[in-house]
Amino acid sequence: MTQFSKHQDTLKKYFEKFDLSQFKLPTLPDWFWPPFQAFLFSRMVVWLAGYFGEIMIKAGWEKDFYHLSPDNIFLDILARWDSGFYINIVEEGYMLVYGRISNVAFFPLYPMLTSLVDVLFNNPLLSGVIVSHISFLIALIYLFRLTTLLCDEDTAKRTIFYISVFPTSLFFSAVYTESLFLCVSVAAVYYAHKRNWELATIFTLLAGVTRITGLLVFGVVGLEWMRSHGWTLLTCYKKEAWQNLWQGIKKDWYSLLFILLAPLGLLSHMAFLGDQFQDPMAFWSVQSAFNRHNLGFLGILMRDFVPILSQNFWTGGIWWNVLLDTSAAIFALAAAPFVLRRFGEGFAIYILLSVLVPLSSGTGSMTRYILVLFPLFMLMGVWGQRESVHRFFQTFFPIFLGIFTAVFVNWIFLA
Amino acid sequence: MIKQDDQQDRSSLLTWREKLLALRVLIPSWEEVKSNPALQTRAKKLGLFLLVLIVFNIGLYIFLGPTWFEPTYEGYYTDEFVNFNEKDWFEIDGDWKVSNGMLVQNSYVDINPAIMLSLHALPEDTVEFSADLSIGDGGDAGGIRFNMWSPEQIARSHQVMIMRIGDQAFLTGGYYANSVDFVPQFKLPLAGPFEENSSGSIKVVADQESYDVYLNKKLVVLDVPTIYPPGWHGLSAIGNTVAFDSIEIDIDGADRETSRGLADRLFGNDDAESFVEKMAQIPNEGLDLIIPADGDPESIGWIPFNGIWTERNGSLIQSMWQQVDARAAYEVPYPSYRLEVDLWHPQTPGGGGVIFGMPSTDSLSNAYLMRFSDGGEGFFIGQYDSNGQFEGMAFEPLPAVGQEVQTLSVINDGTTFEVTLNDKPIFGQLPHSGADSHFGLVSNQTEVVFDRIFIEPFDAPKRVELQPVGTESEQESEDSPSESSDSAAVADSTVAETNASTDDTQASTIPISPELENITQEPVFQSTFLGTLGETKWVPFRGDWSIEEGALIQSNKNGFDFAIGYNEPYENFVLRSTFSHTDGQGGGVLFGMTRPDSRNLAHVVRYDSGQNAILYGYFDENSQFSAQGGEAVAPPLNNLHQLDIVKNSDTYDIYVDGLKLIGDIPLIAKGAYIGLTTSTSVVRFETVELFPLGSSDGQPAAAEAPPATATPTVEPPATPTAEPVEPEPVQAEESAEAESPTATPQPSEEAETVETTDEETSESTEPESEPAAAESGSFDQAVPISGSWIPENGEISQVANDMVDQVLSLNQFGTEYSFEVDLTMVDDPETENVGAGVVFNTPTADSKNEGQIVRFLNGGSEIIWGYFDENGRFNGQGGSGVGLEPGSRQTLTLVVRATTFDIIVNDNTVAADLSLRSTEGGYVNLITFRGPVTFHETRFSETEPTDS
Repeated sequence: MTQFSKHQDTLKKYFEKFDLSQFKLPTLPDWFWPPFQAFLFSRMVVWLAGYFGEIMIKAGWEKDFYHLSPDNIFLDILARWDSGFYINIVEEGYMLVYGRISNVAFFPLYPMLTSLVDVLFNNPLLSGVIVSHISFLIALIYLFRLTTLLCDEDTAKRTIFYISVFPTSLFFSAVYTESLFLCVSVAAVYYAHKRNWELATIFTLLAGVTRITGLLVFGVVGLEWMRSHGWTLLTCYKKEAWQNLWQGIKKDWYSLLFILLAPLGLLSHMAFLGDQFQDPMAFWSVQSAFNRHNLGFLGILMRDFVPILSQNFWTGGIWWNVLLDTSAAIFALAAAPFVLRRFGEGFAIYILLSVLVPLSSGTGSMTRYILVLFPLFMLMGVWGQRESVHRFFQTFFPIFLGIFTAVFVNWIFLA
Repeated sequence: MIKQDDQQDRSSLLTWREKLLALRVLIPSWEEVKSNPALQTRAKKLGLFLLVLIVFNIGLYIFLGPTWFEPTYEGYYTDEFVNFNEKDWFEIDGDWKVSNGMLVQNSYVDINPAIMLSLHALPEDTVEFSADLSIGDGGDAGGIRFNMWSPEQIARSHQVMIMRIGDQAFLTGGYYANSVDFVPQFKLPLAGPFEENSSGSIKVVADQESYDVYLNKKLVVLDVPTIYPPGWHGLSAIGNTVAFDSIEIDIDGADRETSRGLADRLFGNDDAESFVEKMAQIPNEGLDLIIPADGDPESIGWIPFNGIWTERNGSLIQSMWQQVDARAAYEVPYPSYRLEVDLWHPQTPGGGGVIFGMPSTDSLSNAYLMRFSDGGEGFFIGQYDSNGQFEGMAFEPLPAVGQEVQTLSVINDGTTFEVTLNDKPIFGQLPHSGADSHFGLVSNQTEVVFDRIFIEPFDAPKRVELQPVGTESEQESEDSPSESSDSAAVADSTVAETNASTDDTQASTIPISPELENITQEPVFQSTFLGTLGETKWVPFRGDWSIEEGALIQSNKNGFDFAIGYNEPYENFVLRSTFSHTDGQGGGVLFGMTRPDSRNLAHVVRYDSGQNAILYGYFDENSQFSAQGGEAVAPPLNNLHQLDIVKNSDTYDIYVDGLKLIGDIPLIAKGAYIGLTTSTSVVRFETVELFPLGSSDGQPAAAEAPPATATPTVEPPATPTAEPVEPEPVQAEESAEAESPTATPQPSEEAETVETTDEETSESTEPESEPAAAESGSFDQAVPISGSWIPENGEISQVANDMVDQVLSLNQFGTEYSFEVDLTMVDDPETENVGAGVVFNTPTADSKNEGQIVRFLNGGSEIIWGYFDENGRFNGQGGSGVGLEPGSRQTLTLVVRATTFDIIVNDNTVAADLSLRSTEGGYVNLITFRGPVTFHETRFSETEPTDS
């Protein structure tokens, strides 16, 4: 036996011991990949459209606006308009100037998480982008699981795809609160439907300190708790519903008490504002500076939408952003009954209030506001069972996402 | 059945209470948790929730806490804006720049510009913040911002400003709420109209409870509650051209104890909220408004009708400053009495007084009201009719009363009322019904402190103390402007006279007229009022004047102070005018006029257009009327009245219809012209006469000399005389000066400077045709054209510090002459660019336009020369450094010939043979740039033609 054959035997024995068939790559759960794929695809659209929109289109007024990262366009394009407020909060903390636009109008969770991440990167813009993207990915996962829970996996896949490529979904990447709010609100509702009231409460608390409309999530979770104990708005006229509710309170009072702790987040924030600025409602006190005046949603629709009807669509002389915002509001309101029918009153009320409250003071930014109304996208997911509908969404949403992104990065106010 | 239900309810209540008290339902024991996995899970989730909540709260403070400004200064700061450090200031709005040692707001676009100083006070500090400011013609308000929550914003700050609303100036204060709306806390009208470029000093002493406001170092507003505690500080303005000359902030160096004691008497411990509630209250709500804090005025007999009346520390205080004629009546009526009230005004110059003759405590029918006018410029009395409508009767002008204690007394003898102020009778013989009547206190739109109120029966010498004084007011004995014993004697005699008089409206008029009786000479001037106005020497300059049917008539009743002057100067005289009012009342005379065509620096004596009184006073150089007094007289109606003015060298007396009204009034305006005046009335002047002053007053008779000597330079000679001046003895020193060697052509020998005193001038009676080669060592005939000129001890000073030219007309005309002026410019770093000099060869006496100018720059470091064009714009022709010491006396000499002139400074020729723009000669005026500048003496001498 030659020396070589000795070595061959050793290797053979060695490989005989090492069974490749037993080696497995660690597998991610099934609920990860669809959201991840939607995330990757949609963010690629956003980044490419944003990048080329920024370098190809020269509107001429870019120099009049801030550019937080002029040396890195991929980052810079994700900070526009309100992003400056969040970055300002991260850098200098809250500020309150009565009668003028103040960053205290913005809720604390997003800038707080950005600050936390910024401890590692020392780059508020990068930190904000990271928070937005991670939040968005988690939001998609929760939305996928929630929709799977309430419908089926195919509907869930369509839902997360539609919301990922929705024309204004660029805000999920930007330094805005949309992704974080979607994340915590969907998570709260998901755990509510999973009857994990403690986690639902924690995420409801976080939703309440992400945006003012987070309070509505508290209502959704609360209604879900009542529904879980046999009481719904549609059956509230029945004695049995109340009997069921009473039994639920007696039996599951602990969960109810826990849910009622959710507003502690907002109260903490108000206590902080009261301590620092002697004005617990400072976020509300400065709203007038943002030029929002309460006229009632009908008055707003009359003010903003009716004039559009007399404008010249052929020449393009229209208020395109008002048209988009108003259309988005009308679409959401029109979809509410379908949501009610398919997903129950909790989601429907959530949509109605989420639209009507801001609509009472203006149609502005409505296309962005409806972005986080996940029941709308779940409804679209259901509608997407029809191939034609699915193809419509699948075709036009990414196209408009690219257009809107190019518009957004060029400092044209979109929403 | 009922009992069973009750038992069941009670049972269920007890069950719930037991459940709640036990808390075991909510908090299980540790053993239960250990043995129960479900409880363990709950505990973990609860712990997780609490962890999230805690982390969130910590994160708020760690990551999102606001970045507060670090103040640059603490404790003390003063700035005169010489070395201005912009980094120490935050500009909120406006365009703030430092210019010439002042911080000026120049933006006319921003609504409420403000600039904040990086100086912070703690809430528990006491802050004293003062600022000197001026408001130009483009500004509406300027003031200080204090107790600011943030240096970056307007909201949550206090503000005190001097503000112009129309022509009226106000002192306003308040705060900016969260809404950035300004909430006023006080608004006080300031005496006199708002004037452009008016300046003032505002000081605020503030702590976290309240603040006091001083205007021009005088405490005017007390104890206004602070809504926001001490914090940041700044300045604010409305409109442009608001300039701040200096500021001073002293944190915790202020001592509010003095004012706090006084403040407590006014507002006590009212907190901000209740004060604001008071502010929001609308008057005319009657008795419900009365909320005594410490004591109940009603318990001591006072029945408040409106306002807020409180008794505190022995004083009765009306503190609701919004209330019009707030009053409280004493509940006990008296048939006759002597009431004495000591009162003072802590916030405004006036507004307090008394009401008497009230038929009941709540009725004003036929009652009299007398009180200080709101601006404190006088004291008036009037009566309510049976319907409660007030009608004024008389007005007594007074010097500003300020915060001095004033003593008012009312003597009711059962049939009439007599009123005295500070023991001086001012109104008398006021009819009284004879029945028992009430009296009361009144306060009009201000706080009034009634320190002492006592009453004694008219027929009983013992005083009845109505309101015991806790501590005797120090001001009562020290500050009260009581009259001298002589005055008191006069007052007593006046009362006696008036009591004996049957005339019910001229109680204070003493019918003695020895001076008038001594007038036996022919008048030196007697108006004829024939022909047309243009044919006379009457110079109308306001109003519609005409001569009709042998009388001079002013026929426009829509306006004040219409006037006409007589273009002939006279010295000491008795001016007599007879006139009647065709419509309204307000006719009178002018005298002491410096010019016949201006009321500036002129005395006026006339019927008051609003009250039955004769007003007397004078107009200053800015046409502002300064009252010297007023005397109640009978209404003039349409009757013919005679007004006599006995004008001495330093005083004057007033006679109405042959009766002496008042005498020995200081003569302020000493010009030589007379005139007539009307206000809101149509007046027919029948005669105007001037009599030489009799010897009874010790003045030389017939002193009204022809104009040549007494007023030698009012008009230029028709043709400049070529005759040499009668040489006066020349003093050796001046001869030496004149002969001092110079490099320039010297004045001819005839041009020797002559210096005379006033006495010498008055004694010399040169014929009118004599040239005005005069020699003027004083400034008696000088007329301010602009600026603030103060004559004193034969010198005259221009004290206005504005950065503009200020001109004094000398009424001196010449074609070829030598003119010397001795002057001193202030030595002050603040006015380092002060200048002074001469404007000459001006076509008119009252303007610098088209004149040559020679003046010093920067306190005397340089001298410049040039001319003003017809629009008053300066055109330089040359200049030279002279390097004079600021603050020292300098002599500027001009030798003016037909076409050229020389400039000599302290005997050193600076420039010679400079070309004149005009060869026609002209007037010589003095000019300053800023101030103060004192002109000690001028010497003018005409010379022989030399270079024509």
